[in-house]
Amino acid sequence: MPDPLDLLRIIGPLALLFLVGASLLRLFGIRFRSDPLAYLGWAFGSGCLGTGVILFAWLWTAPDLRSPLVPDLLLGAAALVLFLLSWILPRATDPLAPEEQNPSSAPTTSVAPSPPWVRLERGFFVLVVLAVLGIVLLRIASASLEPMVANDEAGIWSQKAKVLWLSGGFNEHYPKLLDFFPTPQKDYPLLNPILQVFEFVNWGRITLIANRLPFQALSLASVLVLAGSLRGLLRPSLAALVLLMVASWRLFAWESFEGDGEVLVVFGSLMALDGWLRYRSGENRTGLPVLAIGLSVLAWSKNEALMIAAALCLAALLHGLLTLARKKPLPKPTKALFVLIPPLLILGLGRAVNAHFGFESPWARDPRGTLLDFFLNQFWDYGPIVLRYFRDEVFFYQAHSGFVALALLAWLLVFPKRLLLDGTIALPGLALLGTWIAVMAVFVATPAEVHWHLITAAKRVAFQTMPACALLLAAAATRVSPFLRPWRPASVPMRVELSLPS
Amino acid sequence: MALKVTVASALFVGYLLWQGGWSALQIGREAQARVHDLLPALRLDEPSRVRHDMARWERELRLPEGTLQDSYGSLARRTPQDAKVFVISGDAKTRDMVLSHLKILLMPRHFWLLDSIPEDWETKAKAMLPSVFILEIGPESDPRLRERATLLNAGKGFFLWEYEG
Repeated sequence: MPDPLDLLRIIGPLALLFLVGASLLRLFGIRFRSDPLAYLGWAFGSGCLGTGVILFAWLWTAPDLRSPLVPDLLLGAAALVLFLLSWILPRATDPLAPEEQNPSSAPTTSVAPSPPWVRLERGFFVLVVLAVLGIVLLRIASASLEPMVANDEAGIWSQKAKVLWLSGGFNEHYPKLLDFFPTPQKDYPLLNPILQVFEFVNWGRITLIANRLPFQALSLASVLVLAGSLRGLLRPSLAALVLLMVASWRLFAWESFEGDGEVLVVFGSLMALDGWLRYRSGENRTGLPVLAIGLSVLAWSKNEALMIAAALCLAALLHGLLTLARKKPLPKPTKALFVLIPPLLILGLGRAVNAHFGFESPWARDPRGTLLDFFLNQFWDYGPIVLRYFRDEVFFYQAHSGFVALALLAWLLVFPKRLLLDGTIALPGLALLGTWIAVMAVFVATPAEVHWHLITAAKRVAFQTMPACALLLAAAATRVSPFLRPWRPASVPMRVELSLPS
Repeated sequence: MALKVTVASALFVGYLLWQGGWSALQIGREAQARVHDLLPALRLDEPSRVRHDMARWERELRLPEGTLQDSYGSLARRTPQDAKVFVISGDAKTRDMVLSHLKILLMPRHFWLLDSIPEDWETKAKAMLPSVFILEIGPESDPRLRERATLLNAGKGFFLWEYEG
């Protein structure tokens, strides 16, 4: 029988993460009622990011890592300060945001009751969400029987967290211990190890299972963000089918089992795309903070974030060229560009830490040449092998990602004018395409044995953006076909109050 | 255009029905298989989970029953966290598989292969006293290593744990 204190150690850190996230969202005026389903996911993800930032700073102060008192108090205080700030700071009004409407000043309308088939569809959606949450919880329960002893979660991520804990934070012992307990990929981003250290601190020792909990909770949060976003885009029955599809993918199930970096990429890309779609549909108040936080989680997840960032830049450039080719004006820079500052700061922070400790990617110092040399030399030999592997094991493999990348590509090609000229779909769509091409290029340029590298990593890395691809497919479909959109009540104004400008 | 949109929408819905139906079946099967894990997951403490998992690895790696569990149990119980563990074994394959797990499970205890330390092994071991432990993995150790380990062990207050295969 487990110690009842263990229950507190399991729930306590997760509750703190949620609390920090909820306070951060409140600072931006995002409340539970903004989207109850997605909110729970956003809050947990934001909490992971906020906690990561606070603990990152704390770990430079020669902290005592044997007691949870200081970090827990720090996080509690941060949540309180953010909560108080949300009361004190004036809020910018955004007439487009539905949550900003004052009920007393809204025009009185009579809302038509939803027809029975709509209620049936909504019931089906609720059932599917509950079933998917249930299966994710079952996966988490199964995973809790297995300590972290194999794969990247043990060899890279958990190893780095253990060394960070043993060194007592970021100090001169840290790089030495990383050598003493040989740890590969010292340059990998730090959000994952920091969250594991948070668990070690709360348990007062190195754990073998509990340190996976934040990432398992993030897999649950991914489901909630995806469900909330899909529900706003598609009819409930169709949203339920997309959710079922994503939840059944083997590598999505894997996210609930592993404490490695993949789930951070999956969650970050989903939250960022959700924010982007909300921003573009006029929900500025919710969309921009969600986009900024999602991009920041993504930037701090894995080195693949750099590849995705490069793909996004190229997508923006390509979309700009397409717009100019149609002799249309380029959109003017807006304040929305500020959302790029937090993820860029995080990327810069990662580079600074690696430069400070002298860490670099093992590929960067390969005496045989640079990645570009490898790519050019191996292109004709490895290119067909990599393409064949991605065709058979990723894009045309039902259990990998349900052909969703092909479905998105087909939809974009069938309606190019309506989708590729509209930045809402074109930007993330082109960025996804660029990311997949970049992933394949990395495998062509591998200094390792290509078959081994493909078998051990390709499906996993290619999968990271597939849940976001499913969400983008839903958005692209509803952009073209009104039939797929959720039912909206026809509002008939009973009384219209006009006010003249004074 | 309207016809194109209608046909594309119908195909999209068909695709989702196909994928959703297939997925519901997969999830149903998975739930049936996983529901048995629920009770142990709620009941077991961490050491029990580790032993449970090591029994699975022993089957998967085709190791004799108890190889991993006994090594782990003995070391976790009898050595402090900062222990240095010298490993002797004649069966390199078994040793490597077991060690890859023990190193992770028992970190920060540090493991050395006794046969990888050439001339000054005894000096090094003595310098690390009193936290040097000897672990023999597998039944077929090199007799010379056994001899070294026994010498190292004699009257120094550290033990030789031997796996009985």
